[in-house]
Amino acid sequence: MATTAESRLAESSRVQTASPETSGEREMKRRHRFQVATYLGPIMFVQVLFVLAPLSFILMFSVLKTGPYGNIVFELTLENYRNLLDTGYATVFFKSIYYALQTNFVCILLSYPLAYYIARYGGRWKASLLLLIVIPSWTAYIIRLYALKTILGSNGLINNFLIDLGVIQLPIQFLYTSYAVSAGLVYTWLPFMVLPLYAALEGLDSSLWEAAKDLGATPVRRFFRVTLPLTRGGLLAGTLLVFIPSLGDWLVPHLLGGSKFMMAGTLVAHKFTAAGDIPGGSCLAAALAFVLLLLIYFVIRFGGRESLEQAL
Amino acid sequence: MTRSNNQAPYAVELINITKRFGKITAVNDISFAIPQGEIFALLGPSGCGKTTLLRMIAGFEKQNSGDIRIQGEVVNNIPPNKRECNLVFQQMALFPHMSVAANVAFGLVERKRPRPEIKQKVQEMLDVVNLVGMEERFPHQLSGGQKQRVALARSLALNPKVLLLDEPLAALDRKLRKEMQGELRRIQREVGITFLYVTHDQKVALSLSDRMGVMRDGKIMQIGTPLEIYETPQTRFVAGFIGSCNIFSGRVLSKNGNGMRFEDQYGHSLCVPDCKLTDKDLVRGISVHPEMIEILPPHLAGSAEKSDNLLRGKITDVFYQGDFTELTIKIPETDCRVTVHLSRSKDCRVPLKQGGEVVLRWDACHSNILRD
Repeated sequence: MATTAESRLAESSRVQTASPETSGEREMKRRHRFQVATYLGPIMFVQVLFVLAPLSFILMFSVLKTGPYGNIVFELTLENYRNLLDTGYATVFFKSIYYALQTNFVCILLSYPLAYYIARYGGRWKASLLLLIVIPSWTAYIIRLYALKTILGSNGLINNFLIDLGVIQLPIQFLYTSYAVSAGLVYTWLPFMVLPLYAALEGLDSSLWEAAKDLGATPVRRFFRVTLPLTRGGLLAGTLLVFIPSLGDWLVPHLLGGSKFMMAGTLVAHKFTAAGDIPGGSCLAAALAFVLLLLIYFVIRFGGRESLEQAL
Repeated sequence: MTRSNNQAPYAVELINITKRFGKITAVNDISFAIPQGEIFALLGPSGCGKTTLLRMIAGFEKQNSGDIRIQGEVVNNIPPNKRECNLVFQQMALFPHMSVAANVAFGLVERKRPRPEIKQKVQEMLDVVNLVGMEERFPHQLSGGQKQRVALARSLALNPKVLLLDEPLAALDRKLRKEMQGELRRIQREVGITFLYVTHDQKVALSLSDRMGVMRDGKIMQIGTPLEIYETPQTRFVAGFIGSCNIFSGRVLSKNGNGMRFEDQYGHSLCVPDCKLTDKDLVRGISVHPEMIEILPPHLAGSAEKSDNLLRGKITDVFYQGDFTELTIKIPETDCRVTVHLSRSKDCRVPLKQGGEVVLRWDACHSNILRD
């Protein structure tokens, strides 16, 4: 959502900065500006109300103090930010970034072949196949994670199957390990990588593949010299859609990682609820938002506008 | 089965090629050969199987039966990336993320040629297609004609045994198409590579090729030089497709010294040149090109010679085309309509207006015999 607002803002400001020359042109510009305002007004209102306002509250809380009973004391301080550097939070942040990167990478590996086969060989089944990928993400995400728990659990589908086969005697501990968290993150966010990649691959002229083949390129070379560079936009769009939510995800580590498994999202939730430290939690949330903004900036910088457009 | 011979007389040989898509037979038992260094055009309406044939030679489709030979070597089981022929796509298919130079170098890089050689070859190719100085441009910065030149250079850089062109000029406007036709001929002579050119545009095929084949419904109807195809089409289809020919169905009544007497379906008696090779019973009709027919005022009809064919008719339509005028003339009491092209330079002594009575005249030797 935040990215929508930014790109729209950028667009409207670009329209306005062109310098008017004649009075007629000035009149046109004025009318145009009015039109832009009427079009964007409602969107801007929603954005301010639901994105900017909460964000500023968080920023404000993050520079306040916590009282002895968990109340907020209106006294400016940078102590929360200093704590960020001092305590073990950095490790949790780096771990989160590591898991988000890993999720993203695995999603790319799984999505490329999937999206490629649907785009190329889907034929009249294309829409149905895409729907099959999307439908699970319409189910409440918590329900899906509980479903995953029943599959991975000690008495779950996989363990029972392996025991019945006689491969193992005792159930393997899948749940509450880092592997369960990795699997859960990939499972949750995979559709958001498949869709933009599919869109990018679908838009690719298939005669380019044939031309590459005709000019002597093997399938692997074809992928790296033609497909990958031409679907970079979709890839970066998918990265935005997968990396950001998996970095801030708290339900997956909470449900599948167990109580000791901390990621940035769980840490923020912990601060707010269990520890009752609203300024401390706000500060962590602000730091997380900053990391994400940095990422979006780099994606736009290196991926160009097209990647953003594909993500939206 | 494979025989390797650099001096093979034919660049491409097709031997009994058949290709079916489900129940549809796209290419039906086609055999022909293209000699080295020739521009061969494959002409036919859309859906006649000409593009399928081209894609089979390139290796993108596999024939159900038959052999394809490139310079004498059977290539049936060689994938497109290893076949020594290259395809110039109708949509050009330039890589949009690569510069002109990188596009041209694509195939050479895939073949792992040393860098200096690639650089030199790219320069050489851009020189051939007149694009020197455009190396750093990207496809979206080029005009249609320039893109076509890049596509050509990209394929020619690999020095293929045969270059396959799939209607590469179809997307260009008329003037540019004409210009590129000339360019294609010049480039072909310069590099000496055999061209197989697929098109549905008879003008392009006639003016560009050394020899051409006309296709219909997966079959080759006729192969010959453009002159043979245009002036002596053997079938109704070829006659109709290559130029808006007037076709008279009928049979030969008698053979005599200076020609054959032909009677068309309406009972008009026409004079046809005696073709010694043709059994008179094989003649099923004749075709006459619209530009070979003359128009006379009715009172001058008597001055015609014995070998002339004369038909009386009424002008029903006049289409001014600039360099010529197209007339549609109806022969009374039949539904036979004759098209006549009157060149501007030809003096016509008849007022060209609807309903005007005229006499059509053409020399017997301009009647071409059809066999179906």
